Amino acid sequence: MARITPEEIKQIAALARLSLAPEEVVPLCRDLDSMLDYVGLLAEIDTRDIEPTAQIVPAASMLRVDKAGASFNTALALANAPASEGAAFLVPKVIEEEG
Amino acid sequence: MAAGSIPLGTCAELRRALDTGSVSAVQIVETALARARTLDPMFHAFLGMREERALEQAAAADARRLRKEVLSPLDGIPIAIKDNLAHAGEPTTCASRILSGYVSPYTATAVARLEAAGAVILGRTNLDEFAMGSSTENSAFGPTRNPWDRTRIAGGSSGGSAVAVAAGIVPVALGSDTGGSIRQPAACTGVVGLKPTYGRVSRYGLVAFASSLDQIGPFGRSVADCATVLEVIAGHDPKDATSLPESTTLSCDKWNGDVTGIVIGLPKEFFCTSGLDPAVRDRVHEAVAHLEKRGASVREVSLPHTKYAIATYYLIATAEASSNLARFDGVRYGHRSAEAHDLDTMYQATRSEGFGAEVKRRIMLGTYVLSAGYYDAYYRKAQQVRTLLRRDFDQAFTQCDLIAGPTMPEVAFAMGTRTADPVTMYLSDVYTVSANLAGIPGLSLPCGFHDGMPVGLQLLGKPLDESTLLRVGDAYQRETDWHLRRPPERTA
Repeated sequence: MARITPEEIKQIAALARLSLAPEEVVPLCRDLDSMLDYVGLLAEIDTRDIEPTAQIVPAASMLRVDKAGASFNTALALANAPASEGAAFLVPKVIEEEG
Repeated sequence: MAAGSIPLGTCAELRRALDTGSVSAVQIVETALARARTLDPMFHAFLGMREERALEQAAAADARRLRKEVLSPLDGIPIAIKDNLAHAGEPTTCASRILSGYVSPYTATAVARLEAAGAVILGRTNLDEFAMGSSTENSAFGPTRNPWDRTRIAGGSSGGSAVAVAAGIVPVALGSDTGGSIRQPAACTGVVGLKPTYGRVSRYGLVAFASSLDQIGPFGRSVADCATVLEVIAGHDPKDATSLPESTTLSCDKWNGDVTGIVIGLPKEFFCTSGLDPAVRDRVHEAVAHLEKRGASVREVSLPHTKYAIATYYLIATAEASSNLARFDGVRYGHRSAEAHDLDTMYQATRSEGFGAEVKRRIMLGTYVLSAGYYDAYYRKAQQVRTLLRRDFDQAFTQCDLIAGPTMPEVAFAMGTRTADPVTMYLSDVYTVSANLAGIPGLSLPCGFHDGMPVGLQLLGKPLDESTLLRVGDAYQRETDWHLRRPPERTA
């Protein structure tokens, strides 16, 4: 029961920031179809008025004092960067220069 | 006798030897390293060893012992950690190419607590990439093999940690469990594995897979060793907002093998699952009968939504994973594609080159179920069913103190047989995922053999009641010797 088209796979991949090789598309259609067929099982449960569970731990336990603590220094924060300059991560240019 | 020819004993045995002075921590660590050198080429449990640092730490432990300043029951004991736990100055690979070259700038709280207790971190263990898998076949660096039969899976995703213990290289190891990733490999390899209550152990420094499900826990050969490790790593940590304030007092010294008054629930749904090997079912029933002889009573309970657990789990886990793994973009750490001419190409090329097939599959499913138009039908629906699964356990625990069943429907299967169809691979987690969805603790311990392979008994407990699970597990191990059996030793 194919639901996912190659076009949809490409759209999802774009959302996920994945570029797929042409030979990856059809197997992913098949795998996602198979996974969606399986999880479709949940449709048979009546979940009207059931609160969703997002987190097991009560939210009240999640607060701590809003106080700055020790953090990485710049050198340590940049130590793993594929490219850096000064105190910054270096990435390909995102804004075209004017004029 | 060649160094490393004898498998390391339990922490408790090593501690006694250290206390009497019959062995030093340096000798123990040398033995562990020698065994890793001999055995690991066959099993591939490790992705990296820290020989020099481990020996230094062992020497420091010996010096402390001489000064009578022993830090904890783990002082001088070698331990392996799953390679998704940060350790300052060491690589953390998550068995993924996308983290190639990464050196962790900080240490996970669980690892820091082990070091503060004097434990010696021996090395980093193999896993399914980003802990996504049930066989450790998804590692970018090659699979881990089962020491009981090298043609079979080690289980996963913490297969490396399980095998490091099963092969007698280390007495204890840390893993992480999102849907069974500690308990299932423990069952596959004949060792003990504990997934604590969600929030019991800080997740700070554990590379996130599915944040509402992930939990760090120990592997060991004895339940008592797992309890010792849990007491060291558990406890509130301000760096993990979901870590719980409750203290972890297990009172192991009071355990005496008596389980009088304990009511064990057997969920009827666990024993009529299609795919449950009758031999596995029989081993589990025999184990429960042992506990009855020690004073426990047994009653049937029901977890009516069991058959929906895997579907619920894969929707929630992939949704959370697709969000968590967005951070791997080639900007701050790890791999960056050479095709990085503009930002969007850089993200896409980096992620496509860096992630393996299963990780991509899960990111794709997670992105799909969170996308506009499908959110309510899939993700929200799964969260609602998660509520029903939690209620099942709440209801069952009004009638029993713990739940017993198989950890896995079968023994470790042959490598390569489930990799083609992701759904059949997911089904091996049928008994383990519910504990993560409900946040409750789960323990797997060896309860016999079938076809020459270990069978796992799973005990599930009330939230924060690791104490009962471990006490009952310890009682079982006092009666049986399954956990003392060793895989046959062969050399490559």
